[in-house]
Amino acid sequence: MKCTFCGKEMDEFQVGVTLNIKTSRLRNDDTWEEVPNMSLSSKEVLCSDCFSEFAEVLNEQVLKAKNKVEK
Amino acid sequence: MFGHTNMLILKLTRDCNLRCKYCYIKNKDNFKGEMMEFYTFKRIIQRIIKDRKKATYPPKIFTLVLHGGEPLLAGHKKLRLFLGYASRKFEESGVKHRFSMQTNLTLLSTEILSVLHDYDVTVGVSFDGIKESNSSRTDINTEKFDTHFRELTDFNINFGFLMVVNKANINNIAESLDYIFKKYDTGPLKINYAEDVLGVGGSEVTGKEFFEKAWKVVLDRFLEKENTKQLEESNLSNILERYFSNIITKKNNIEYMRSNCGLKICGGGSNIIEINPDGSVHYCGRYSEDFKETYIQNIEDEEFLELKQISRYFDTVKVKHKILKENECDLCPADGICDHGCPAFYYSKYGKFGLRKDLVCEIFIPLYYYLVKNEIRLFNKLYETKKNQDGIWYLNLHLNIEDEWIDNITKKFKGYYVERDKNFKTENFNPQIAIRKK
Repeated sequence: MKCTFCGKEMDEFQVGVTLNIKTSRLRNDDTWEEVPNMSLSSKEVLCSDCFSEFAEVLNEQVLKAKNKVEK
Repeated sequence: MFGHTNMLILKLTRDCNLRCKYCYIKNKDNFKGEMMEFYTFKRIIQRIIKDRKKATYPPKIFTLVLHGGEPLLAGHKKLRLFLGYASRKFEESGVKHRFSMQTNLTLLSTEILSVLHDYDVTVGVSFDGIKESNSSRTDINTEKFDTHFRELTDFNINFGFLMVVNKANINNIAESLDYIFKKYDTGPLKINYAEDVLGVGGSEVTGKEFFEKAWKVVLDRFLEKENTKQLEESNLSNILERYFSNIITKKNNIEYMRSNCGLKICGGGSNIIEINPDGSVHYCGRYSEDFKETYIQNIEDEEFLELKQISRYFDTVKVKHKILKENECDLCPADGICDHGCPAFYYSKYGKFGLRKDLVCEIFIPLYYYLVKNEIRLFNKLYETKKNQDGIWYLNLHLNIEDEWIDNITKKFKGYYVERDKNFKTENFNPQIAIRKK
């Protein structure tokens, strides 16, 4: 099986990363209503190198974004 | 992209041999001779297969719609090349698929018929009805269209009709329905309302006219005609199913359905996408031109966790949510059955997102009251036309079934009952309820 990011054949590890999204909107009557087309799932299967890179970048970027939002 | 998108509107070309007054594609003359290259087509098919392979829950069936402009301008050789490639690649990769095509049919030939037959293409025929009904589109007469319909029948090709209601056919709906259903053993046709997207004028009818002279005509025929085999229009068929689902569950089933068109926040950009001949991916095929705001990416662009598409779609969700709030759609009695207008048409016409209240509310609010006033008769008639040979009507509820809903049916619709344990179908994402008559 090949890594879905770099395309290299995976040997020792394969790490599945899944993003599950469920979205709701606040209605005029102050209740929540699901947005079905924005409730979905996506997936990558990464080799160990790509996963390590992904984890590092995600952590770094998310913290950076958090600081930006807080400011 | 194709991990969750289940329908691709593939514009082989934006060129067309007709110039319908109500067509929404801008500057068609600029696209003369435009045609998708085989290389681009192959890259699209490869991308579909690659994305589906890594998806957790890819949609069960992928639908590839050959669209345009006029897709038959591709000619029989190119169509065979494209469909043959897609068919072989999908089979090899286990992608369950459906091919369909939206065409005006005027360029049909024996060679094209054989391609449509060989690759089991379901054909959506644009046909506005009999007599002068097609005068907004062409001077080709009903007899010529009729020859093509017979050819489709002879080649055992599955086809249905798309009728766009406009000033030329608004007064002929019943007559056209009689003509179609007497001659052809076809499923429900689709009746859409024309929107004068390009501001040409002379085609759009009011929402009130559309309801009174098109959809209400279909519903009246359904209720009044004896031995009716089906509700003759597919949008109404979906709306009725939604209406009764909402009554039974006492919830708004719109919240639980993924869909393409006709939903409160439509699936353009998520469930359904459009690809142009140059491989650019857009929200859906109904935008009049390539707007920057509706562009998602190119078919060649890399993506991680489909995040590019998801974030672009979320942009539209936010805008549509604001529009729904401003127009107080959540508080409207027709909210549960309304299509909330086509955002693509609105954007194409006004350069921003919005809602044609004059059109949408004039159609769906009277429709809602019609359904309320006639719900028992409609329920009875639907049962008669939808029941299978065992006398069971399976109704989609989109939700896991609760005990209380069973009581709702028996209380509200006397003479009917539901056998709970035997008849629940939960193997797909749309749980169904089995309705029987006592």
